[in-house]
Amino acid sequence: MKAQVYSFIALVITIPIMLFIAYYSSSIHVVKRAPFEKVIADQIAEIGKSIDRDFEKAVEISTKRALLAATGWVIKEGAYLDNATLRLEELITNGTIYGNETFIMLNNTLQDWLKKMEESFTEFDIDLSYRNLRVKSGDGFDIVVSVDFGMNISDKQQIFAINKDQEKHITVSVDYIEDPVYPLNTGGYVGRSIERFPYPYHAIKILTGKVIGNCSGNVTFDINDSQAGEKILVTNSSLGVSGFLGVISESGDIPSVSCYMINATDAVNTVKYFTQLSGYHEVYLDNISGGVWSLPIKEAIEHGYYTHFENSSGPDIIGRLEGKLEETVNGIESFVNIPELQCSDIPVKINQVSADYLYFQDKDYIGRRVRGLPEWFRMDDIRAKKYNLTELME
Amino acid sequence: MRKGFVFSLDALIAVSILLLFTFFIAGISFSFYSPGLEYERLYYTGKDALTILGELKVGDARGFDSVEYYISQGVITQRDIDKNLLEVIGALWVSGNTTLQEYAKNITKDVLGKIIPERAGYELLIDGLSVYKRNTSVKNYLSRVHTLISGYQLGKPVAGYVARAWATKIKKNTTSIFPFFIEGAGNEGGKLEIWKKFFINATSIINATLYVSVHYGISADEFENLFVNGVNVKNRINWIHQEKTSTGTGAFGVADVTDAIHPGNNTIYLRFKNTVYNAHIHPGMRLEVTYQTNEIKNVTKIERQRIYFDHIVSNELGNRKSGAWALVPFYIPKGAVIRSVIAHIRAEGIEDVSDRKDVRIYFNDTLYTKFDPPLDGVVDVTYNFTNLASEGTNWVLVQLNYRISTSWFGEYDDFTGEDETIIYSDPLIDPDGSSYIEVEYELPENRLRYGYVDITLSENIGGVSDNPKYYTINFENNTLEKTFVHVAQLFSNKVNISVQPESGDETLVFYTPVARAIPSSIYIDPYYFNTSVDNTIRFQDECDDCYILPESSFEYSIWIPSSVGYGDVHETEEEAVEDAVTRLNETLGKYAVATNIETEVNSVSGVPTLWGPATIELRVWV
Repeated sequence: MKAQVYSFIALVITIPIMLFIAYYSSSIHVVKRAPFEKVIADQIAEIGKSIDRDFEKAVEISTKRALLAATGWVIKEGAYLDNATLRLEELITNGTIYGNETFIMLNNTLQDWLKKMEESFTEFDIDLSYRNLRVKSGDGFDIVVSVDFGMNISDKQQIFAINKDQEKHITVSVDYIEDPVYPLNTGGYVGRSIERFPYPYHAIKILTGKVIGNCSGNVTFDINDSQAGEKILVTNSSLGVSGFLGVISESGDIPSVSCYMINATDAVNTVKYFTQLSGYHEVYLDNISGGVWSLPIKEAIEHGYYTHFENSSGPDIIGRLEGKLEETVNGIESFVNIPELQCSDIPVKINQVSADYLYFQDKDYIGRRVRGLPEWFRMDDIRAKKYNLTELME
Repeated sequence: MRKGFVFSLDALIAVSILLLFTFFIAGISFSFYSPGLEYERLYYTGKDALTILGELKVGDARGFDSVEYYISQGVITQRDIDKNLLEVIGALWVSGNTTLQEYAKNITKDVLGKIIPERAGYELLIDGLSVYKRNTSVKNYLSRVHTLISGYQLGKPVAGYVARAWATKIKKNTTSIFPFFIEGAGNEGGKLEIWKKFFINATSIINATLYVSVHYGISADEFENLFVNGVNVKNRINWIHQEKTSTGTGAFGVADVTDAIHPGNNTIYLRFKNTVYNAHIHPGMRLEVTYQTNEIKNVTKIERQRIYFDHIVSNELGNRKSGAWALVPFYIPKGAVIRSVIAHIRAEGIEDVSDRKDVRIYFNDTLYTKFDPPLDGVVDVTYNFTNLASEGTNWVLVQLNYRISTSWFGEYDDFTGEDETIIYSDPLIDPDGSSYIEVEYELPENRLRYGYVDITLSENIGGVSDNPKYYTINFENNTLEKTFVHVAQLFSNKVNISVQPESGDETLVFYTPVARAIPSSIYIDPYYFNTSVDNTIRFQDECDDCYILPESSFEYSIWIPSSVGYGDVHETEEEAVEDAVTRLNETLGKYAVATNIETEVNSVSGVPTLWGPATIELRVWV
């Protein structure tokens, strides 16, 4: 009897262990198989991420080329687009504009991308789609493409799958895209690409004081500068200084030059600070406003850089493609270079404000000369305030 | 014995339990080293490495020696700073340049070497081609991780330049037609002298043909002189058609004056008379010049044209009084907004015969004004016809010392001029003092052509003299700027012109509202033609015997593209520009002298292409 009890106890202990071992054996099998399935699931997720990321890249590439195609079309046809966003959407989607194929969009549309993607993964079932593609204005130097992107990815056994619909907003830069306003207003003879104004400010009065004469030139801090006749010396002491185009001095000694400012407090450090800050080394001494000016706006005039002002700029690229020369909230503007137009025998409007969107309007926008800037350059009071040039207006 | 058996059984059970427990522990330990788990580890190692390559921006990866070195060497530029490492490796690799591929290899080795444990081997492949491979151990387990990047394909630039080009100066062969207006009035033997002065913007003259269409008297001697720039070309005239009537001879001839016409200023002078009627020009007289020029028309919305009268001197002969008249046409394109039409008339030697009103100005078929001249006989007046002008061909007719009743050209005996009657014009020396019509209009948007150059061509309608007469032309899909017909006739009455494109309707495009007022140039708007099919122009004079001569000409100007748009993406700006210029030369080649094309280009950098997608694969093994 006692033995039976012991045997029973032994069995009671043994059976759960047996059951546990049996369960564990089957679990081991699952564990052995699980890493592979986990990897497959992860691969699908990774492909999803990869496609997701690449879709944004494809939209960016396609949009950049659509912008090129659209500007190219406008310039070639000599006519603005009726609805730029609609035409850009047509280009991005179909590669056509007004139903006409464009070379530049060949194999570069979103449809092309979808096809290539679906062909790239043979180990998985991939179904991609997009809808509601919209092109909108950005901050002047960008446009924003919004699109609903749908993605269904699964393994061949349909065990794992990703089904995803999301709204995407992709920002596309318009840097280096040609501005159609210039060729269309110059018979196709003057072209200009959109490049951002690279300086931190357009105009700033860096020193205030009494100025004798007017002059403008690169600064030097070297009293022995070999190109003294072309430069403006910035120095602690102007005692006995001569031969320079101009002099800015902290001391009260009158230099032997026709253009100078003396008793300029902390002039050396101030001028050094601003030239380092802006990377622009030219200054303008103006006796009427009584000060020394840093005017990198001259580079915008000379090189045709574009600027964006919050709340009041010229049209953005969408407006420019439509020929809408109006002030906008999120636009960009540049200055018309009159000598450049004259070189191409384009008739010029002598007193028209030089801001491109005003200059090319049929309406008169009469401007005034700005001291320190080219003779032909014209600005009105509103724009002058924007560019901090009010004190230099004639 | 029985007890011993029981103990043995207990021991056996105990041993069994211990054995099972031992197997259980061993099983657990063994399962952690399963192939699946090892593979999983490798996979995640590869995935993490690839994620780092795909996420880490170059600007944040300066800690890697290779990245810092290539930034300092300018291999990786400021433009690449915001790109991830995978994009930079991909761009260097797909360049196909072995040096750049070596850079890609070095960055891969440097970065992945620091991420993937040393005991593992790995290989980075782009589209199946190895970028870098590290062999460190036998391949027991191999994991593969993929990602895709669009815009990369071996041998293709990741981003490049595109360029467009346009011609700013080209040499082209083109034709200009200088019509002699319907004009005249040497009366019954009084000499009629006409000077046509004009400027040709040419670098060289290829061909110049003068078509002479005059109505002189009975004798051939009455056609006295024809000078081109001082060269007497009268004897060069081949009189092809002639018809004598009671009012004199209608004659049409052709003279080759290529050697006499010059680039720049030119003057043609002719003198003739009609002893039985008044001497005058008939329809179809013109100079056709084919020449080479550098001129490119500046396309603007506002077009302004000034058409100068010919200088006419009509001489009195005894009691045969003098008079002068001229009909000068101009045109307005369809859809254009007319801004102004101004006529300036200067005439001399006008007689103030009481109440005759010997200055008469017509606009189209309406007598616009008539008045007596001032005492000195000099008339200098300006009229604004802006509100009267309309689309198509318009004209201004001036009659001096010459009165009509019902038809402006009917009363040939009613002249009043003493000595000379003059319509003054010298456009080369005194343009503003000359008689002229100045037209200004705004072209509709769809007529503006940027990046095109205009070429004018002309051809005689050929065949035989006939009425009605038909002429067929196919424009081969070229874009038409403007077309004119120059109707040549010995005698005329009222000519109607209609156009019918193949399979289209016939449209009357011009009719002569007043008898014998056939303008020397009749404008037909391109709107009426279909440039992709044959178009038939029908000329018909209401007078059955008034034949249309085969030397009538059809003049048309077409727009040839003088610019090319953005082309393929090239690795360098120079290549893009060269490609644009080559395409432009090919486009212009047929019509222009390619070696003389001066171009401007605009290139755009950083243009990406949707190459690929490239498959990036990272293999990791142990």
